[in-house]
Amino acid sequence: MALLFNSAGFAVFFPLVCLAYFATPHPRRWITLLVASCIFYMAFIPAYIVVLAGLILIDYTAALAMEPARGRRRRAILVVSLAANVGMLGLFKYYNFAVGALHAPLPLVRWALPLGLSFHTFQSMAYTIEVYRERFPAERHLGRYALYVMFFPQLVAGPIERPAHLLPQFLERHAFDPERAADGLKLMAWGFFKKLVIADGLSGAVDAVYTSPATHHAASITAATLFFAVQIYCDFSGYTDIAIGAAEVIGFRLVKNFSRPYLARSIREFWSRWHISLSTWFRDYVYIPLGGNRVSPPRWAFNILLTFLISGLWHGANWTFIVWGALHGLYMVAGRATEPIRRRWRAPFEHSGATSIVRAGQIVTTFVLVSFGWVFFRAASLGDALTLLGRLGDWSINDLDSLGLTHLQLLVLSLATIVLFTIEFGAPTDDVRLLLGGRPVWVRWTAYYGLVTAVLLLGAFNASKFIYFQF
Amino acid sequence: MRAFVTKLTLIFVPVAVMLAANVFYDPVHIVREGPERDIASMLIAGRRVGGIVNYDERRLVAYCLQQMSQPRDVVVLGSSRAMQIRDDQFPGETMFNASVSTATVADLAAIIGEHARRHLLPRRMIIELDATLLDRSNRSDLWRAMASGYDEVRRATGLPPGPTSAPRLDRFFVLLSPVYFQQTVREIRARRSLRTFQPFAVISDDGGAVLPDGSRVYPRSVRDRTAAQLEGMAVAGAALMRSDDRYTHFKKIDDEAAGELAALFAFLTSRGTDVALFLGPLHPTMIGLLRESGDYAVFEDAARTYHAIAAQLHLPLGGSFDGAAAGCAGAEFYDPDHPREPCVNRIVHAIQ
Repeated sequence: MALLFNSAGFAVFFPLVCLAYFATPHPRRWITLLVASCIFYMAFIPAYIVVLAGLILIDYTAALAMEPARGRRRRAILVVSLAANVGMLGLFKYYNFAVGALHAPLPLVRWALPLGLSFHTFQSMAYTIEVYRERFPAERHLGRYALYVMFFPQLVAGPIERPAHLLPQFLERHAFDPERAADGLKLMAWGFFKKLVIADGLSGAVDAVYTSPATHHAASITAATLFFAVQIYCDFSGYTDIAIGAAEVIGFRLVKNFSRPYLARSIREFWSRWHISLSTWFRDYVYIPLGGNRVSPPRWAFNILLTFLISGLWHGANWTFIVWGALHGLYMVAGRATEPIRRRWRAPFEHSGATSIVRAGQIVTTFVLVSFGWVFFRAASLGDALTLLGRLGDWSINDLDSLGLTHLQLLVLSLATIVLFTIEFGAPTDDVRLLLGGRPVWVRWTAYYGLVTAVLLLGAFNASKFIYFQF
Repeated sequence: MRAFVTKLTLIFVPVAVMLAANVFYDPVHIVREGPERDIASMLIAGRRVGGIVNYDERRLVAYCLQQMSQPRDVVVLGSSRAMQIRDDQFPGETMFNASVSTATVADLAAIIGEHARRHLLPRRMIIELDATLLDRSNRSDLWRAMASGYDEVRRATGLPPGPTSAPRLDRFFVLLSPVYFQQTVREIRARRSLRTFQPFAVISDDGGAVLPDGSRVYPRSVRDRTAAQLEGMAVAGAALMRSDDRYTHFKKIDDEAAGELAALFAFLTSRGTDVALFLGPLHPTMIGLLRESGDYAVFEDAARTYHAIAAQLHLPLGGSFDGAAAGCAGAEFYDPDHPREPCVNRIVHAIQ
């Protein structure tokens, strides 16, 4: 039985882990968490624990060996560690794609992708690189290092943690804090609302269009693409809220992964708000080592395009993800190239005090560009994506009925989405819980009951997978 | 800490309300017996029955057979794809539609056995076949509503004991399920719109009905679906069948199930009942998409198996799982899985 956050199994597993964690004396708590994390991981495909354990041993040993080493030897150890992680990714995630793309006369493998492989390998690589750069000492305690890689709330889809942020927390003495636990549960409830009510509610309509592009017209394709923009945000940020909230209940702080991304006024800003832990990973370990922006403009363009291409490939072994990554790279390059012109266009509005119009225009433009990119991200193949885009000009038929949503479902989902964005965009910070802080008790409890009731009444409880689990 | 426990308790108030509603309304009759006996009495008395949101179809068939005094000339048996076949298709003959949703081999055996046990075997039985009858994992113990019937046919044919499960205490956990709560809410809404809490005889079929011949009429909201809506549903249906664990594992024909079906048909013919078979058609768009993705292969295997059984026992077999091959257009469906009457009637006429 898989322990997806939205499964009945997790509803039993999580309270038991919390009880066991706080019942265990502090020095042994890492054991409780490690056992819980192993159970969580093995609930999917048990045998893959061997793969994960192998990588943990390699990286743990490499970091210890790297610490006293200098020069070439130090570098060689890092390369071995990175090669093990990238190699494992390559074998499980990219081998079949490469064989197909290169028409290589090699047999295809039929292995399922180990759970959260892309996430925990990146977290492990962050650790060995930080040790290599002498920004973080090698962890001596194998159990605690294993827990850093396997910590169950963020094991399968992040946020991708850095060693300096997460590892020291395993040494902290966490007494049960009712306020913190209540805060964690509130965030989990918000995440469940996003996932179960909105993301899963919209998924059927999106699937209807994206699994059969040739039978749809502009109206349904546009609607499905907008729905997907909402779905993927609610799915992934919902997962992140549940992960952060679950960790918070037992006293851990995970890094922020979303910061109201659809309020971004440029693609560059979008990437500082969307999947932040991955964006900063690529910034620190790919983009900056390539030279970042302290290079000539052509070289910068190359750096940014390469970083986004790799980011696209990270999301999946499919040309659609590569094109999606390249598209965002091109957006960034074009954004920088056209900045002087756009500044001139903006100037009259800004001088006349109409900054909110400019801001709204920027937000809408960014959202449209991002949504255009989602077509490639969601389509099953490049051919499907091009078919969908090709049919975007055909407004001859109103085929919204083909989305398979009743008018009532559409109304409920629209209202839920409006409530979501009103709350998230209206909150004083990224933390929606602050919106209720200091409000009268009846307001807070009306909101809590509304949220729980909405999840119970409208949630899709078929334990569907989170979209980012496939990466 | 006390405040935290209080808050935690308070936040479970909606869950407690959910549990109370589930127990009180009990839409799938986990706590209390359902209305099947009353419905059966009304059907046997010749009334159309509406206002029933959830009931155990197997128990209803069992109660109907219990109250039936004479065998019918024709009995239709199968899954929900056969439920729309009515007695007006058999002029001059009496007919009973004993089809049940998501029928398994054990269900068919139990219904046939119940007919035999009560000396109600018809002159002719028209049996609709789904591919999933040959799916090894397609097992449930719903047939136990007619356990005596199953035992009757098992003694005569040497069928294996029916699939069973441990005492179903786990079903009470369903009362804690939000999915059950959503069903409860749907039931409450349906009851409110029907302004009744009991099944009742109807003149209009707008809300859906069970007819005296055992056949079903879909509610008007389903009957009025447009071709575009059906197309979208068919596409979504194909996506579901390609991704949902309930379908993706069905790759291989269960030879044992095929053998059991052949034994059942042989049992019927040995008791003097003529058997005619047909394959339940599915929406052509959905089948087209499944064919493209290679997921239709198992349906073709199932069709070949059924044709082999029919040839071996010299039984007529018509129809096709592919709606297009069966001569049914996309608009001749209620949803991706259920053909409308004109489609299914043509197939039934062809095998008579």
